[in-house]
Amino acid sequence: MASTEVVAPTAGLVVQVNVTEGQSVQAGETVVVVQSMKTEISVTADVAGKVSKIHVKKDDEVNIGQVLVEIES
Amino acid sequence: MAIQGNHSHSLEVLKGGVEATVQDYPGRLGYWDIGIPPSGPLDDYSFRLANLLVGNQPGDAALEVAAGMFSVRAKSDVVVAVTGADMQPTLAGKPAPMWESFVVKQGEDLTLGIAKTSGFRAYIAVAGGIEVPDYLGSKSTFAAGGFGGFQGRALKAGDVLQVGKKEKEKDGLVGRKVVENAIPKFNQTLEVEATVGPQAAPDFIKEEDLDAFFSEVHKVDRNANRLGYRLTPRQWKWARSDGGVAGKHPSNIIDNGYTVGSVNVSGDQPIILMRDGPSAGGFICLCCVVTGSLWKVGQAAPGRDQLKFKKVSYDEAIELRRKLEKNLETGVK
Repeated sequence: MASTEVVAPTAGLVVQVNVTEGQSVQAGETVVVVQSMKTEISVTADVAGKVSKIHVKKDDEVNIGQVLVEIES
Repeated sequence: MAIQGNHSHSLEVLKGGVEATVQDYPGRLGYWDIGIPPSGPLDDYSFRLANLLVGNQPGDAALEVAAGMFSVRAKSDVVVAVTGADMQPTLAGKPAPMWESFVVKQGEDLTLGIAKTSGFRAYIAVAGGIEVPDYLGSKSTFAAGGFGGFQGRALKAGDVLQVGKKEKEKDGLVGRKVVENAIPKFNQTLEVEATVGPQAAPDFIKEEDLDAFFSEVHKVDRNANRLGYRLTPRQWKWARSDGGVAGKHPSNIIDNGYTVGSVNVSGDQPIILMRDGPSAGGFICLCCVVTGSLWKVGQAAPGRDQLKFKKVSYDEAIELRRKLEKNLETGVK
């Protein structure tokens, strides 16, 4: 089992968390939506797997590179 | 390595990332009077170096990747170069060089991560340039207007980008490098040169406040984008109590023309007008980031980096631009 971190590509505000811990996700699936640059940015999973940890919630401010979600695959 | 110049090349987008767009330089000129902005690369210096590395004209259409998480697959062998912000590029899973031309073989993936430490925009140029239709004389994307570039929008997975044909084989296209002193360093606090005015002190703000503005560091707001680089609002010492006939707030003036690089003060918030920005409006423009310095602004990461303004004269502004052009002439070996 490998753990993959899904990180914020830019600083912004978390407007939506689409997954719950334990849930299965597909590669390319949106896990978190971050508002930045006056738009909403869909942050996607690079790998398919199971969401093992969620580090953020709605309305959190995140920085570039901050871990949002961890996925076990 | 032989790169065939007589058949169609293309790149397939695997991940569109945050905001990857086709741009050319100097962009869509000649329509500012009817409100159509030039668009084009925000960091036109790194952009032009990328093109020069792969033997293109410096202004040929190439890709601007803001924030990263972008990936393309070569449908045939192509020569590329990656410049700008360090997004830890990989080629077929292994680290790929920056500021240097290299081959992406058919079926290989070129992938960018994120701008972890500094800078915010990376550029990918492909020998032959990106082939998209000209719209009003330019291949630049103006996404807010829905035209130019690839279907008038940022790229997304599944898009196939045609690569232009090269006239003939170019010897030594691979392994060309940007010389060390021409490679820009992007710090988390970037100094940008600006000329004062047209609406500054003493008519619109107090003299001491102008000095304060130039000595402070200004955090880039997370909503900075290709239209405007919003900075953190500050308390101004206005010279007027209101905007007179133009409005209640002392930042209001009767609508007038803006220029790309203007530092617009909208209420209390300074906003640097960028290449997709508005051509006119009713807020004061305190100073203008000069052409030879504006490229640095687009490398400031929204919500992370800071800008510091340095006052320059008209002559110094011209000199800065000359220096930049000189670096482009001699920067690629």
